[in-house]
Amino acid sequence: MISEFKRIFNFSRITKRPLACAFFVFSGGIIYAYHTKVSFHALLYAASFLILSVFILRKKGKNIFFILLSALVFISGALACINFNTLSANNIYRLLERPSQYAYIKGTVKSLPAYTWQRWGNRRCSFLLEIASYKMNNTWLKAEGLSQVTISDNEREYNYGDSVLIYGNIKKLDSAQGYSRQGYARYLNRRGIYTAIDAKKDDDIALIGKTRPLSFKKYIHKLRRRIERRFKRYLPYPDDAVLSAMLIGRREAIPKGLSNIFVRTGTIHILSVSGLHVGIISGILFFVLKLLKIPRKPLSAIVVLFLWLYVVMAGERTPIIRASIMISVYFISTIIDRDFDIYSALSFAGLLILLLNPMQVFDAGFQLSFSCVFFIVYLTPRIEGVFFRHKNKEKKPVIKRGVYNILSYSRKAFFSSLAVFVGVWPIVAFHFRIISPITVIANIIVIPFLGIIISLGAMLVCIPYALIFMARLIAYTVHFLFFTLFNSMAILSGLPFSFFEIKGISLWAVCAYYIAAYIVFEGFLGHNMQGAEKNDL
Amino acid sequence: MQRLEKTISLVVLLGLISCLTISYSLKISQSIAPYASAETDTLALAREKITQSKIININTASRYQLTRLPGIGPKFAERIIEYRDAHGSFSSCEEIKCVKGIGEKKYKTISMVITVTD
Repeated sequence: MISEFKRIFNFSRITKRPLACAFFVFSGGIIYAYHTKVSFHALLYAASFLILSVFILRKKGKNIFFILLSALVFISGALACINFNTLSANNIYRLLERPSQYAYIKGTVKSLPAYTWQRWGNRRCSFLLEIASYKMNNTWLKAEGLSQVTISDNEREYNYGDSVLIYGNIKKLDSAQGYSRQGYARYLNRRGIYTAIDAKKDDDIALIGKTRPLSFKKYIHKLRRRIERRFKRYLPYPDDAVLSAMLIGRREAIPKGLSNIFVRTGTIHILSVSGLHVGIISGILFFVLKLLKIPRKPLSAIVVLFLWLYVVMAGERTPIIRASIMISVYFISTIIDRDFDIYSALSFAGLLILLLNPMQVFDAGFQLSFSCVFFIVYLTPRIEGVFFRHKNKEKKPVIKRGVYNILSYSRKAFFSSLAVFVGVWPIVAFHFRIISPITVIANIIVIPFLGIIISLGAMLVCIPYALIFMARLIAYTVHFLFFTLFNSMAILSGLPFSFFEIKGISLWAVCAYYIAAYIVFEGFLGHNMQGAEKNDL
Repeated sequence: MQRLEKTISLVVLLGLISCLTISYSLKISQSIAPYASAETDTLALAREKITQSKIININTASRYQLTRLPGIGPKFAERIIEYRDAHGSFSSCEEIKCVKGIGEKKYKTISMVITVTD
């Protein structure tokens, strides 16, 4: 019993992966600073004391050094959190005299504008504005910060990099009227956006200038627009909207009814660019470049470079950045001939993201993105091992190789999907108040569709304008695939007990579940691991 | 952990803490500053352009045009038109304060963008 307890709680497996340890400790520091409101100076004194202790006690043993280093990482996380949430005196949030007021604000458009059609026929435009100045008491003051701009009745087109002057109602997001959806305000706050500007019409906005013509990001966003127009040209609605969402991250035009079907089946992740999409696209590019007989190291470098251009085009969201860092680490490890460890790569990606934005640790997208990868790698062999003992791989299969491969893929897909559901359902229930058992089956169906649709979508983007016939053929195929996919998901979401909407689940219940689940995974399933690899935790 | 790894970890952590301290110090020491004067002329012109496009004649404006005024929705627009129908054209901008619901505060918000003549 004691030996079993020691085996389950053997944390030397984590300490052997210092990056994984650093990730958890850093996250702990962020959570501690956010909830306790500790002061920056107190933490700085503590850090100075610890650094001094490291120098004095460095020869006392590796355990003491490890504990002191962990404490320093913890304090770094706390400092990063406080630093991120501290706003300078020039920040627009601090300059505002009232929770909401009408004012003139000058800034630069810092995102690709999103256009949505309203019920009463007018078009709404929204974009992110990087504020440069603000008019207060007849004086222009230097200001900084990001603001979410919404134009209720829009006809004009705006572009990334446009310098504009806006007259609108600027509101503080935490206490502003009209933002009764506090979850949305908190979501924007976590991205460093503390204000929102509402303008009624285009007349309230004057275009002052544009960024330099050779601005790299502006070119990427122009390309994004052209790809969107290409899809609109060849595909009917809502196929063009869904394909734009899957390939370039433009989700605004997807009909609400269609989104709800995917939410209920737990497959909403395919309607936005995520790690899965990045993996498929980099896989396609790798395959194409390999056909062109490009040597391994230059090929890896090209894939990594393309990946980061794609991150900018698809909107620089957390799941895309996470996947791109991991894939980049993989390819760099092949270039420099080093072993690749998926847990370390995952932790490294998490640390980089948290260094840039510590508040991401509370974000549902961040938690789900990392949890999904972790549970696929960690839990799938354990669950599979319950049903299938480790087989001698040398033994010849008794059925045909093709059938064996299909069955093997289906088995792996089922257990991966089950592992993800078992691992992430509490996080989904906590943030979105829904539990979808049908997601296990739905994801097995959806993922092969996604691979084919993305491949065809990429072909549609790359095909020259002259080959109209080929483009139309691809478009018809994509339309057929979408028709099948949407109807399959609609059927699945209509089945009894496919999903449950709940009132909510407490954070303590989530923590208790993961502790109990860890004991079960390690204590009972750990003995039966199928296909244990050297990289396994 | 090897000696080199220990040294690198310490150096990275020290660098991170230093950067965070510098960033925090810069943020708390910043003070409110006026905007660069070269740009204010451009801003004044742009503001003039917005103001001109926004000026509404409250004697001739339709219900839809009145809703373009800041803080004036369909309900207030309806009240302005009802007052206009009952009492005739507004003789001055200040007379709009006689409309039910439009007090000193709301008048201050819209006074810059209303007129009673073309």
